[in-house]
Amino acid sequence: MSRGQVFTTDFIIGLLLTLAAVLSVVFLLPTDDVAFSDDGERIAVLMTEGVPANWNNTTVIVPGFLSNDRFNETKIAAFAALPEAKQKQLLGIRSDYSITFTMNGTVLPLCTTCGAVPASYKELLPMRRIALLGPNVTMMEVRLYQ
Amino acid sequence: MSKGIFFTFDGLFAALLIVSAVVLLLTFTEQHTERNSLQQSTADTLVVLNTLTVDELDPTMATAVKATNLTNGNDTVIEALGALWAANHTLQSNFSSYILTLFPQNHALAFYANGEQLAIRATTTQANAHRVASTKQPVSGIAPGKPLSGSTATAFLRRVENKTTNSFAYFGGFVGQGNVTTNLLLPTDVTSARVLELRAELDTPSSFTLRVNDQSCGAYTPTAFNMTPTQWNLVNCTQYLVPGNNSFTFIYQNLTTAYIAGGYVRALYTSDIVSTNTNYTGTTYQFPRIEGVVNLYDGILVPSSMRNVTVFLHYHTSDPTVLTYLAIGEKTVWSSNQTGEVRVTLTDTNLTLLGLDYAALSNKTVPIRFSSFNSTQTVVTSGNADVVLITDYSASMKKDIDSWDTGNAGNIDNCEGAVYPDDDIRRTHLARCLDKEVVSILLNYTGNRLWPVHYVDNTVYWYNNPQDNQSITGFYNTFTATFPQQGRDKTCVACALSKAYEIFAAYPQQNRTRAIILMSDGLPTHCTGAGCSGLNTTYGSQICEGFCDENGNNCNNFANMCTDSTCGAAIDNAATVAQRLVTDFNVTIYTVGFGPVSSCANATQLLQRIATMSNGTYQSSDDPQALKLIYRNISQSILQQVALEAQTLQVPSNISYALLENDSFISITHDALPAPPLNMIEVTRQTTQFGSCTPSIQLPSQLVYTEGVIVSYSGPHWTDRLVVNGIPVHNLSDFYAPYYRLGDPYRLHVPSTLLTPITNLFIGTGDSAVNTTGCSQNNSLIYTAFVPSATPRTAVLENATGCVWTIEKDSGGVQVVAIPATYTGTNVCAYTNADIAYDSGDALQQAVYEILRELDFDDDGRIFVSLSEENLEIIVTKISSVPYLWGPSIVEVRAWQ
Repeated sequence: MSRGQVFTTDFIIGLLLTLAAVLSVVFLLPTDDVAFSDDGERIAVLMTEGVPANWNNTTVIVPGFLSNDRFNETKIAAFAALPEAKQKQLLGIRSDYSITFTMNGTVLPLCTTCGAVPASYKELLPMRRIALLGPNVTMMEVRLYQ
Repeated sequence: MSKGIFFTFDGLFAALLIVSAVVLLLTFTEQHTERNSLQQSTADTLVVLNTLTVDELDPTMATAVKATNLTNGNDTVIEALGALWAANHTLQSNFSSYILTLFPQNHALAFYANGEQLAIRATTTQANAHRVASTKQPVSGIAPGKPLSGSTATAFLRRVENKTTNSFAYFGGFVGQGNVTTNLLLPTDVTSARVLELRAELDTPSSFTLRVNDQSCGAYTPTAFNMTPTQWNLVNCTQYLVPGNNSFTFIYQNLTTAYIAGGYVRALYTSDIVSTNTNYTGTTYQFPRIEGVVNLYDGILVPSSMRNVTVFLHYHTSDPTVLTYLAIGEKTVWSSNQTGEVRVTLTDTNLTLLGLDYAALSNKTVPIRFSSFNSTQTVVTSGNADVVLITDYSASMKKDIDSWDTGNAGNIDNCEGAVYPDDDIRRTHLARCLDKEVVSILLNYTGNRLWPVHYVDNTVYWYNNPQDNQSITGFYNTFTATFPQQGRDKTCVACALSKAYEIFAAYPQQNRTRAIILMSDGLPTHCTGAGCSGLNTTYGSQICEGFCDENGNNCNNFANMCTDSTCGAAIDNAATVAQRLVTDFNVTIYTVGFGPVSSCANATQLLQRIATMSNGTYQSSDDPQALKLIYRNISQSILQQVALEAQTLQVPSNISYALLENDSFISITHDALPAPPLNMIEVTRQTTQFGSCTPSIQLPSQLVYTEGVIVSYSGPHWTDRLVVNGIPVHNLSDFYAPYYRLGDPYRLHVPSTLLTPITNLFIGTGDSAVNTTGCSQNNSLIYTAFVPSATPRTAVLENATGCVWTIEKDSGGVQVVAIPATYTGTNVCAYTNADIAYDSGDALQQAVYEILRELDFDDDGRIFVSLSEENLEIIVTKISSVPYLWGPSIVEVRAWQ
């Protein structure tokens, strides 16, 4: 084999390997990883009282679903009543999302208009938080979609 | 293998590494996120446990939990969990498991308290879990075995009823001679019916009849006297007592023995008055009424800095030859031979002009002397003492008083300002000051004679003008001018004593009291010119070198001489001459070790030996102020032998009577003493008699002491020393006068701050600073103190039910009292001498016990007040969810997947 052929084959294999590595990174890693990580943290403000503490959908600065360490249905409803874009703006996220409240395995009809499930998506790990809703332990599950 | 294939494998390997790294990164990120989620879950669980209340639980469970009485419906679940755990309640396990079921079952979950598992819900063990998360929270107020709710109580007396306490009327160290009247002050609510006991304890030599409020109530005869009091139960007199002032008149037949040498009348009674109106900024000494020969020795307590003094004297005399005088401390503040009824008031202006030094009298028991004698009953103001004052002026006297360095040669004429305050003063300077002071004291009394003797320059000098104070002082001045600034040459103690012998032999009058004051700062070096067994005033053989050379420059020679026999012959010669003085002239020799003599055994032994053989004293010091006191005390001791020997007068038949009225007083204002705390009960108590001059007494620890006095029987002597817990609080020598010119306090002030649960005392009596006479075995401490009338809040205890108490009282008998008054149960408690029984887990009973304990400050199981339901207020506060100080215990929520 001439010296020129060796380098040509070598070059082609190397190129293929590089392409394979680049494609692996592209397909295996989330393309918007940093953004999603930030969104996950921002969502956590929902487990606060919000700002102001007794906010409503005209005074809200930071939305939070709790009052006295319990889920406050009024606040949840107020948030749900906001347009989705406004919700995202208040939460400071870009991702699509949805929120589900579950009590003893039963999904509660709360926050059904909080966010929206996109037509096609890749779901990230959900954020599950628990607090009392009335006297019952209730789980809030927030899902972010890519 | 071709080179191309080699590079291909290389590329594949690199690609695998890149892909692995990407996969690992993804995995780690996912795990981290999931762990965060699990951690959030445990934190949220704790929040729920802190928020959810018992009443919000399933009604059946809530009812069961509340039925334990460990918690209530408003408690949070974590409080209920902690309570059940702390109480080790059987419901705890079921309750914990139930709580677990409230939480989503997407992971394993467990609760812990202080590491102890309370409940667990899991399908896998933590050991096999991929991820474990934990959140902990401290919970205060719970601890295993501790109650979680209960009651706390405090008790206080609304008012005092039938408090048992004492009042005293005191007599001075010597009150006479004649009929004596004193006052006993009783509280305004104390009638004769409330007097439990009336006693007198007096040191008096003869029988007397007693009148109380002008009512005769019996004749009494002492069984002992002279520092030993007799006690009488004055039960026949009790009926005459009234609220307020009560006069007690002691009527004697023979004036010579009509006196009281210390003592008191004491009434034990019950009163409803919490505390007397004590003046904390002043004190008043009320004179007793004395009809006969007024001869009073007493003292007044000045407990802080003296500010103002007012004296009012009211007396009667009929004889213009009678000189009536009052001395406060050593100062005579009133002296007059005015007859008839005399009323005189002395104020600060008069008193300070007379030299009364308020600062010197502050914080002391100040002796008071009042006298109104007929001049035929002579107090000796003249003396018959023949005194030889021997001063060592050898070479070593050039040295510093407390070392072997050359001493300061300050202003030798300024004794008070330059010599006594200087610790490094030259010994010659100090000796001259001390000698002149002795001359001044002794020759202040006509009839005393004094001869100075010095040895210096290997010669004995003396001066013979023994009754002329000024001439002798001149001799001292001239002598020190002749031998300026320092001593010289050697020491012949035997020679100086021989000169004393010559003097006494030359003045052989009978009935003279002879004394020698022998001072030396070292060892004898020479025998007399008559040999080492002879008596002669000239220096003979030199036996040893002595401490210093002849100029006092080299003073390092004493090491061996102080312990070996190098100087023995000279020492024995001195002792031989001293013995001849004692044998031939009955001389008392007061020896003084001047400077660091105590470090030289042979020198000390010689001076002690001479003092012992002559019934004198040996004292030594290297401190100028102490030496000053030693010389003064020796002077007083000599005077004591030649002047009035004791406090008693031998009253002749041609007496002219005098009368001291008991409206006479000395009023003193002083810096304010600390007032006792509010809401406390005043009580006055007396200890048992000490039976010793150095007693160690036990005092109740829970009292707040405001006053303490030692009562000391001194008979015809003077109580001159009191030391409390190692601190001198009374020293009659602080008053620079012979004792017979001073008062004799029967009561000695003890600062309240020195009264400790174990108080160690030393009490001494004497006729001079050096002539001690022991002490009475019957002395005691009388103190006024305050007892708390409220208790602090008890600890939180589980019960608060009350009890029917049986309580024993100091005043006798027992009371049966239901506390609180509404209590109708069957609990029985006791606080008696025989038994103390109550439930310490009951807040009410504990509070009552604690106040009874306060009211029984002498620990005899008897309280000193009556306790009825309406007098005792007990406030009980029931507390649940007690914020106990114990803990915190750690509650943990753990989750794993």
